[in-house]
Amino acid sequence: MDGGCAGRDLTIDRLADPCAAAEQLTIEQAIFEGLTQAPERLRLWRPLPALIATLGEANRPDFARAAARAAARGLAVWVRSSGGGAVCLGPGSLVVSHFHRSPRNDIDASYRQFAGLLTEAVAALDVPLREEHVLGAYCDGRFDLAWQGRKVGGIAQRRRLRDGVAHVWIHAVLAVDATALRYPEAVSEFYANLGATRLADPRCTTTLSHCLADASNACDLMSRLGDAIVRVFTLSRPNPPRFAA
Amino acid sequence: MTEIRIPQDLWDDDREGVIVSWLYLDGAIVEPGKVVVELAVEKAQMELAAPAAGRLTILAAADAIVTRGQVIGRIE
Repeated sequence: MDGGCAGRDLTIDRLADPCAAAEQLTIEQAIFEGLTQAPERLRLWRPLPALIATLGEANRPDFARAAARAAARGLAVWVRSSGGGAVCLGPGSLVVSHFHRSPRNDIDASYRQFAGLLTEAVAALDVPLREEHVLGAYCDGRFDLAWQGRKVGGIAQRRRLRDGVAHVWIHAVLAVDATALRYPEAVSEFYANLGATRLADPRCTTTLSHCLADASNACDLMSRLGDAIVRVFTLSRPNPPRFAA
Repeated sequence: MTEIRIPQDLWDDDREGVIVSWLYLDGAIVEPGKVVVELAVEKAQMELAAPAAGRLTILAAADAIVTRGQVIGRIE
């Protein structure tokens, strides 16, 4: 991917059951730390309910209090090492993480490529997403994936440069089913407890299931989305992928 | 003296980034290749490594707004 890595082997982990975000973040941090030697990797998983904050948010004085209040509501709070803002996750979300090395040290090229592949995958479900900054949405950014101006997914990165090669961990969270609609409110409450003025406006977000022209297509949407993402990533490279899980 | 500079090709335009944290104190002795600073731009968090060995001088503190190509520290 990203030009110079095309042709390398791709390993795919696709986890069937919802899993603890903390455990997956630990696994993914280890994959990132090992990228010097490891092949490119794509991971798809559904999280159990959790709120994932950033390192900057974790450094705020009221973080422990905000995390405790979220936990009391059933949202364990964990910290990720990519940028952006807090994100609420649950079984209605799909996390897509991609690890690779790139000769290019350009964050925007990585965003465009990853967003393009995800957009292509979602288009196979007859939902046209576009890259668009959805101001007011949770964890908003220039490479939000939006449908009719409302955020369906977001992308963030963690990178390091080693001997002129960029090690890239880029990940997206896609809101798939209707249960994800309540997540922005949890993010706003977390910010209020953090003493931050930031808000996540629920009117700025939607889910893939709401974007479907034919509601009957919502059946097995998560599974079909995963299939489409794997297919698009597989077709984008010359070698067949290896499935690790 | 070696500069610690934000790579010019790290992002496309004139957006601003922010220094998230320095992993060493001003005046510390650093080794080449060791991560010395983390910065963030556009939901991407990145590490920059020391380009040389020596004593670190921090020119842009944590939370400072930075642009690509900017010198944020030096090593002497």
